[in-house]
Amino acid sequence: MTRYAMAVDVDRCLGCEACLVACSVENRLPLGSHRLRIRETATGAFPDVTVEFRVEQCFHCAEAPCVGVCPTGATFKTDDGIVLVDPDRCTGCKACVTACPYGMRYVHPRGYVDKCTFCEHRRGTGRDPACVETCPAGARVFGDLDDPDSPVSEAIAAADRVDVLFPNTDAEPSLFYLNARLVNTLAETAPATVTGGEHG
Amino acid sequence: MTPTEVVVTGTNPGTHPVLESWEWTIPAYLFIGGLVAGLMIFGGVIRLRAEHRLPKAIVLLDWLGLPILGAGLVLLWLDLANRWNAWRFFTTFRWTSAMSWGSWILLVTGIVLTLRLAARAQGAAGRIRLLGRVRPLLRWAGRVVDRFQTAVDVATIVLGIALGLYTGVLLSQIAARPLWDSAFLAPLFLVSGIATGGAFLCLFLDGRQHRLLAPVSIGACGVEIALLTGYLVTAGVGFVTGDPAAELLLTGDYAPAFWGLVVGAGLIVPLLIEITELVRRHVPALLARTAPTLKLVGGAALRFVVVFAGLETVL
Repeated sequence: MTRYAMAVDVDRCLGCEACLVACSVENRLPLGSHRLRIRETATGAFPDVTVEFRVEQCFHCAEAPCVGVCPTGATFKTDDGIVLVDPDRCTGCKACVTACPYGMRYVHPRGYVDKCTFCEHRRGTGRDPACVETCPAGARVFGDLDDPDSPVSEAIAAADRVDVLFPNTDAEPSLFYLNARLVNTLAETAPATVTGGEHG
Repeated sequence: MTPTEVVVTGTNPGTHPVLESWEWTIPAYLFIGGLVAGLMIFGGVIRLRAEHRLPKAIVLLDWLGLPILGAGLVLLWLDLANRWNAWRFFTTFRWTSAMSWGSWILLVTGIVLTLRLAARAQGAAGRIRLLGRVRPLLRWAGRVVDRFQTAVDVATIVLGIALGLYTGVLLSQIAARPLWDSAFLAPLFLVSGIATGGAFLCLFLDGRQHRLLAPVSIGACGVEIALLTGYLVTAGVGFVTGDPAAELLLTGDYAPAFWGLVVGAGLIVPLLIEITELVRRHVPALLARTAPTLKLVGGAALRFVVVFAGLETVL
């Protein structure tokens, strides 16, 4: 059985935001809307400073809370583990937006809820999602988690450390952080400077 | 403490850093849903028990139940981002979704309340010209309600309980918000709905009828205080941020509204007034009207505080 997943080698990520731009262009997102988020965390005092970039997008959870709460079936899970939204069925009730523990869903200006699809429209063309394809550092890998020879399985096997975000949710996310140092170690509520408008 | 700087890029309006997915219309709807649930339970029980000393309660339920529920549904509809897709709620039933359960409960509740309103309107058809045109329909509704009176009353009570519970389950189902993740929330909203429904009735009842409802009203207040305590103890349990979630209500930004409006104005003060009324058998009319008014304010504040504070809590 296929279960698509993504892994991000945090050690390689430059924080260049090319994935953010590629996603917006590939999926023709309206200005100011984003399917990806990048959290740059700098901690410590000179000269002992640690900086880490954590990319966040729909985690395509195996036990996705958003699927269960959807009253119309607009949010559904495909056989290969990808969580999708059918805009025609979506009422924009925002139950899924509220239920997502990662806050990765938003209301598209056209009235339906939108999020990362792992570039589902590319499936069958042999191409990776736009964010993976465009990453200049090769920090992102994508593939079938159930295939031990897939790039994602190999990257996870080779990593010194593998994390998922908020493991206490029991949602079993399909996006893995490799070789990270700060994931799940700092309070998510730490004061953040938000810069959201420059890409789109 | 290690200095930490966080910069987030790629956010969407209303989702980060604080989720603002549901606006005032949702807590307002939850309040109205609870109020109607309370009216239905009171009206159904009073008629089933043939309590002739409280006829006004049934009349109020029959005339106002549907319009008030309709106002709540309008609020719910206004909150949808894709309003013209609202009919999609009724194309499927998804047992895992509290909102799907709610849609069907609201539909059946609407049918029962329409039937009750139509049966009641039958008597007024002669006086109101517009109603005269639909008199055969009203007569039919009246016959149905008369013939199946007990079944209609039982359905009214069962649907009232389902409606009241669902308004709480809608939130408690969402485990991603620690403040909502409590099994106490559904019964709390149900009992609060019964209390506000009773308070709404009290606004229209005279002193003697008011005193008939006082023991129920006092009991509901007591149960609500117990459930509220249970809710505060359990909210967020099992999650790393459980305590900060409850603190948001107890000592945080929402504490003034929680302690002042929900607990003080909505529970303690009305409880004291009603106990005084029951013991002394008389309180000034203004004071007697104050208790139900405060209960309505407290019931509304409970929904607003729980919804908005809950949206701010993250795992």
